[in-house]
Amino acid sequence: MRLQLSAAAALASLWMTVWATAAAEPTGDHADVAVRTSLYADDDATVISTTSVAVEGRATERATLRAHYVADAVSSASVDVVTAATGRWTELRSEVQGGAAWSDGTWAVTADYVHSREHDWASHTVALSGSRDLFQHNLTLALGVSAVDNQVGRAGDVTFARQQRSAGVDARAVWVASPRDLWSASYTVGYVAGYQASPYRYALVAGPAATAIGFPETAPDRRLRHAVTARWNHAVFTAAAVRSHARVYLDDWGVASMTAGTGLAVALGEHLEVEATLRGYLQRHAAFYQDVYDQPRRYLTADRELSTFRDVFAGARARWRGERVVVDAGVTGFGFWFAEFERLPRRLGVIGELGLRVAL
Amino acid sequence: MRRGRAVVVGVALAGCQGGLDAPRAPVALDRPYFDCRVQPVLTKYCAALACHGDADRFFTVFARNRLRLDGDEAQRNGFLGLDERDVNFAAAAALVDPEDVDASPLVRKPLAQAAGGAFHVGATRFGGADVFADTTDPDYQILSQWLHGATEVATCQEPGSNL
Amino acid sequence: MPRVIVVVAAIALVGCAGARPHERERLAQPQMQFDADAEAAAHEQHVFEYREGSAGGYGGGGGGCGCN
Repeated sequence: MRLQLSAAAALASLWMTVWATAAAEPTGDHADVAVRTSLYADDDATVISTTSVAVEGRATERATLRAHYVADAVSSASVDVVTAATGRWTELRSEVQGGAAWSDGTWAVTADYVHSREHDWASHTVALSGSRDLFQHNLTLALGVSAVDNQVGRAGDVTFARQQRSAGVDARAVWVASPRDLWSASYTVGYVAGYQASPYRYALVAGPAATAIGFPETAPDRRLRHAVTARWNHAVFTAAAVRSHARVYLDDWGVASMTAGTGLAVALGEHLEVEATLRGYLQRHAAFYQDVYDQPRRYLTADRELSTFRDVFAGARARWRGERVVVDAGVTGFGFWFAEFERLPRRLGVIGELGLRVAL
Repeated sequence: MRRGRAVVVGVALAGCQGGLDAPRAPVALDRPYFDCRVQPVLTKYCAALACHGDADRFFTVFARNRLRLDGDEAQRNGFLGLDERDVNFAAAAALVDPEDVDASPLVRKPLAQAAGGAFHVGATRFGGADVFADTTDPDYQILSQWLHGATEVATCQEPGSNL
Repeated sequence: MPRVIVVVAAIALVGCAGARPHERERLAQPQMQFDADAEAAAHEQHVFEYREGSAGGYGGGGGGCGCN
């Protein structure tokens, strides 16, 4: 509650700054306020409501300030927990972010701080980035670094406290290949150290008399992750774009994945834009993952996100752009197919989303 | 070109940490001590049908007149079979932390948090008190001593059993 | 030698191609932007990072993920 109050106070303070700035500059377009809410529901008995409020305002000609607040409300009776003593559980996650950006049209730098808290998890993130436009703005090179400190707890358990820290570097190039083509390529490397299991989950190991014995999860305490991503936006027809992306991911737990997606965004008239998207994901399991382990092993996990699976997301969105107001609504259907997680071979669901952005 | 290919192959091969699927380090846990002394503690405190006498729980305990591995209702109060004892032993051993036996869920879960125990749903369901108020409880001591290598003679008999 | 290739490739990619200022009309359209709506992109990435074993590559990220 105290976090929410302080977050609200910070937002209110920034809001007043932004408002004052906008009021002093009647030409407008000096501040944006965005509100977004989404509802996620799947057939694994999980419902998540996410609402965010973001404010961004110009502090000087070259500098902007921004802040956002996100609240996730989760209610779940997933197969992760129904076989434990816990039944349906609910929780609220709050995230508050403050940041600043500076740009002179060629150079740009950003700095952000994020604090996130839920009843069994708290984190602090610091992120810095810089970019430089080259070749008459046809090429942008960017470098970002981030560091996260996580405190992991267990609901109701005053004696359980673990630490997890991570750091990441993101190198990115965005270039204009032609008047109709925009490309981006990035390499991201991340290192995670500390507790990376779940205190709630138990891995199953084949036991005597054809039973399965539950073992508390154990996971390696370090993980090195790499991702290479390419994105391509290509203008087609008179007011449409095909937006495609692909990613290859590898880490030293043995997880390998490929992501690919495409979408078509079409402007219908001056104000309306519609978009259809399709995204697919393939993953190979972590080296130590087994659905039911053949014997007790050093690392044991029941995390289906470390198993071999594939998923597909297909969505549609409509966006209306007024002079100062942008409203969008979207719906996405998805399916996950877990080849190595017998407790949940398939998960289907839907995400509905509504957004509003106002320029002051 | 050859160097570039070597780098790609090297990254792919060296990508994984070593020993990720290594077997778990064994913990020396005495079977006669378990059958004779630990099993009665599990039967007494854990094996109620609403608690760990439930086959859907991750930690399942078989006990006389409670959950049984097989058989019909008339056999529910029969002596525990070897299979059932094997499963109970394996389930209890699974809750032993080989790197720090005092931090094992087998002893920390039933211990009150005020005495250094971990959160245990059982404590919230049955009046707010956990199984052991502190580590001086004689039954806690039995579990703890088992984890610390206590042994028993093979002829030791669990009261009420056919051992 | 490799450095020369990189430089030549970069020039080929952006020096000779690219777009002059008066050719940027299409590039300036909202649907041609990467993550024109940062909040929507953040919501989307949060869904993926929470439910898939991979992370990174699409920017964003940050706060705790409720991974527990």
